[in-house]
Amino acid sequence: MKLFVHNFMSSRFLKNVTVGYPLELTVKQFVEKDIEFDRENTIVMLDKIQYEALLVAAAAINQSDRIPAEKPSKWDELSDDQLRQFHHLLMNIDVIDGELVCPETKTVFPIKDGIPNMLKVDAEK
Amino acid sequence: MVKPLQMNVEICASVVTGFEKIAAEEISLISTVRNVKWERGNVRFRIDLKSSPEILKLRSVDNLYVVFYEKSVVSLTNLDKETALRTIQNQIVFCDWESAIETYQLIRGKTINGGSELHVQRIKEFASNGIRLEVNEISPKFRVTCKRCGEKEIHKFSSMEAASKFGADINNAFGWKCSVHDFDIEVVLRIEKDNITVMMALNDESLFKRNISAYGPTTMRSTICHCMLRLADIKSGEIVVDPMCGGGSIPIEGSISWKNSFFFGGDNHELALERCRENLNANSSIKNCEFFTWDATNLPFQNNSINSIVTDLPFGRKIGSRMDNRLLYPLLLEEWKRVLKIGGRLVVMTHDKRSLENSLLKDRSSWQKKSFHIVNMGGLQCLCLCLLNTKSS
Repeated sequence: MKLFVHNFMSSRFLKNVTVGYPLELTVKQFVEKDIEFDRENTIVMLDKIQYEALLVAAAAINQSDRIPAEKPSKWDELSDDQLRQFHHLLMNIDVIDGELVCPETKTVFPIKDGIPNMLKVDAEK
Repeated sequence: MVKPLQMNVEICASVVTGFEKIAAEEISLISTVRNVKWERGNVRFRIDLKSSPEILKLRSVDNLYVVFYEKSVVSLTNLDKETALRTIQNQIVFCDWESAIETYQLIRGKTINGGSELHVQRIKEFASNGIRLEVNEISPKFRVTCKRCGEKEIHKFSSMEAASKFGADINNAFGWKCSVHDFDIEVVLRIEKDNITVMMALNDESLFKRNISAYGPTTMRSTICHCMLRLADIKSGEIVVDPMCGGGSIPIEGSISWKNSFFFGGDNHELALERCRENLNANSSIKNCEFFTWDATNLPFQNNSINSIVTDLPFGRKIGSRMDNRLLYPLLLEEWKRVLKIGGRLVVMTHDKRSLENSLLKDRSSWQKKSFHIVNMGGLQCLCLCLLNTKSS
C-alpha cells in the first residue's frame, strides 16, 4: 500500500464514527521504490491531499524531517528538490506490513502483503 | 504508381457489440484516420499506411483486419452453388493484394517472401494464364475463414465451401501452403447477402487477452474494461474505484491506459485478492494501482472523495442471486453516492437490469443517466449504464 493511499482512507463506514479521519498508522515493514519524479503530477497529487494526514504517514516511517511541519501555501512555488521529498513519501514508500487504526473506536485494520483489510468482520478492537 | 508508404488503407476493427461508438472515439484520436464508420460489432476507417502501426495500441478493439476487396455481386443469393462458388473464387484476381501485403508486413513486422510486388505480379500472371505455383519450404502458411452474416439459408453454398474454393485459388496463384491450425496469414471472407468483403488479419492472439493471467469465474475482457473506463471520462490525477474488482481487470486496464490517474480495486473475497496480486505481478510496470480487501457497501473513504466508480456488478448468475441483488444494489448505490464527489461518474455493467433500474428509481434525484449500452457478454445481453452523481450537498 503506497503511503498516499492512507491520505484518502477513513473509517467513517463504522458504526458510531463521525469523522474517522485520519487513520492512525503503524508500519512494521515497508519498501522504498524509485518511481520517476514528475513535477506536474506531484503538484496535482499535493492539491488533493490533506496535510495533517500526510504528517501522520511521514511520522509512521520516521521520515517527518523530509517535509515542513506546516503546509506550504503554494505548491508550485516549491523547488524540484522540495517537491521530490513529497514525491518520495507519497509514491516511493510501499507499506508491506502494518496497521490502520480508527481514531475514534480504535478498531484495527491489518495491512498484510501490501493489502489493507478493511472488513469490519475481520477487524479487531 | 503510388509508393507503398504513401498509400492509405481501409481497416476493420472488431469491437464488443454495444461499444462501437466508444471504440470509434478512440480510433478517431489517431491523427491520419478518416472516414470512421461503425455498424454492429465493428468499426471501419481509413488510415495512412505509414502511421498504421498505431492501431496496435488501441485498447477498445478486439481484432484488426485490413480490408482489401469489396464487391456487390449481382444476385449472389440466386446463383446455383457451383456458379456462386466460381464467382467468389474469380474475385481473387481483383483483390488489392498490394495493400493487404504491405499492411500485413508493416503491422506484423514480418515479410511475406517476395513482398507485395512479387504477389501483384503473380496474381496478374495467374489471371492471364492460370498457371499454378507450387508450395515450397519457404512458402508462408495461410488459411481462409468465411463468415456469412444474416440468414444462412439465402446462399446455396456453405461458408466452408466458400472458404475452401477461395483458399484453393490463393494456393494456386501464390503457392502459399494451406494450414488450418498453424498459419502465418489469415484471409477472412465476409459475405452478407450479395456483398463480399475480403480482409487479412493483422493481429495474432485476440487483443482482449491482454493484462490478465489469473482468470476468475467472471473475468471481463480488457477491451470491455477499457470501454467502461472511457465512459468515466477520467482526467489526470483522478481517483477511480472498482468496489467489486474480482481479479482486478478494471483497475489494471485503467492503470495501463491512464498512467496519470489512480485506480483502487477491492473485493471481499480472499481468492479474488490472490488473483489481483497475481495479475499485478504479471504487469510489473504498473505504479498507480492499489488493491484492498473491503466490503463494497462499507468503503473506507471519506464522503465526496472519489472521482469515478467503474464496476461489473454481480449479475446474480454465477455469483450471488437476483434475490440478493434486489437488496444489494440499493445498498451499493447508497454507499457509492456517499463516496463519489458531486458530478462524479458511476459506470456499471449488469445483466440484472431490473434490480438496477429499480434501485435507481428509489433514489432518482441522485443519479442522472448519461448513456446506456446493450453489450453482449458471453451470450448474455447486459446493460452498461453511465451515471452522473447529482446528489445535493
